[in-house]
Amino acid sequence: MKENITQSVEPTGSGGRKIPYDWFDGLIPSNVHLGDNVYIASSYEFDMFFSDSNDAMVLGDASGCYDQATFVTTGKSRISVGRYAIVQGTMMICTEKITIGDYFMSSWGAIITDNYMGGNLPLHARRALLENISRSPERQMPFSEAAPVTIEDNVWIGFGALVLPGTCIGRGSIIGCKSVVSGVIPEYSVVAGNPGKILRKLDPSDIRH
Amino acid sequence: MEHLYPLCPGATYEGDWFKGSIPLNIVAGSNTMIDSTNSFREFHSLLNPALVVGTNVTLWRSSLATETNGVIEIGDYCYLSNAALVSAKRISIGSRVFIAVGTTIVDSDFHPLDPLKRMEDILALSPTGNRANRPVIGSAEVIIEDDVWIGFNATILKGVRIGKGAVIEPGSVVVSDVPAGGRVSGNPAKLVS
Repeated sequence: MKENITQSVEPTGSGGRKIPYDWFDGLIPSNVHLGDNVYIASSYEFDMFFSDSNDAMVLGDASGCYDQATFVTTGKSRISVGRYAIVQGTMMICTEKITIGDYFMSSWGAIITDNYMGGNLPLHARRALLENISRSPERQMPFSEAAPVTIEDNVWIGFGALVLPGTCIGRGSIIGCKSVVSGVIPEYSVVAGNPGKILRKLDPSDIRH
Repeated sequence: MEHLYPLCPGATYEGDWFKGSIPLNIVAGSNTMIDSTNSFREFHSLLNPALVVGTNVTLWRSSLATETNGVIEIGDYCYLSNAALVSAKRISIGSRVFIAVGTTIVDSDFHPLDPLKRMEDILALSPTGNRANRPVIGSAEVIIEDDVWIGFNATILKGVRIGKGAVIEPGSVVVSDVPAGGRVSGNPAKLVS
């Protein structure tokens, strides 16, 4: 049995929760809702977590966040992850909504973002974003307009893959290592490359379970 | 514990999870903040200053790595998030440059391409070797001009100059110069507009 499962996480006066033996001196924010038997490796995963939504993050039963998985949030943004997810070393950047189903798997260096962070803005707007940030104590990232990301059940994201704003990934799909994906990916697709292309389709064998 | 600390030469920070200190051979402007001294774990430059950072910069979870002769320069109002800069010669970044999560910038291959020299390099780096015997390794400065935007998981390799206001699309591998105001994408990165 892993340590750091929710049963052993104590609430503190501020409403956040301290993970026993955490190497990082932080808290799991009070608006992160954990199902039964959720594992979180460290509160380091939440050091850029600024959403003040009541349900800023939901992690389903028996999900785990390992090896510096990191959740960057702001404003009223919400991240929802289903049951039995394995989130390993993945950065989720959420400024509006990221929704992930059950049986999710993602690997180190993967990034799932609903925000392009000014990359699509004209130069003067990018400048203003950076100049404004330097005046705030929190130094949140240069967020711009968001496009929510949806990932259905049983999706596997390979290491270093990039899921861009507005992406919808259908059930059972695999996103290959280092791919860059956007738009709508139909269910049971295997996608790879930059830009990501569908290489083949998988047998929907999991539907019978 | 603070979320971010002011970057100052020689500083140590109460509550920093990494029990290190900021090197003395750096220069940093006012209102420039960093999350941890961990960023300097591989800062081996003997030059002074080996890092020059302007004002109003944010450095979050980034790695500022230098070899003994490496130099990193960063202008004003830059934001580096989870970026890795590895310098054997010189990486120069202008002002108002944003570097998104997962980006790597290097100004050297760090090992020889020639098979025999590579073997010599491996021997010099081994526990029984002497680093002073490493062969000369090609390095070429990386220059990133003002107002450049570098997207998620991008890679910038040695000898590249990225012109003022250019945009590097997420996931790009940049191996050649990018003109001012250009937008590049792909591996190898090519001009898209």
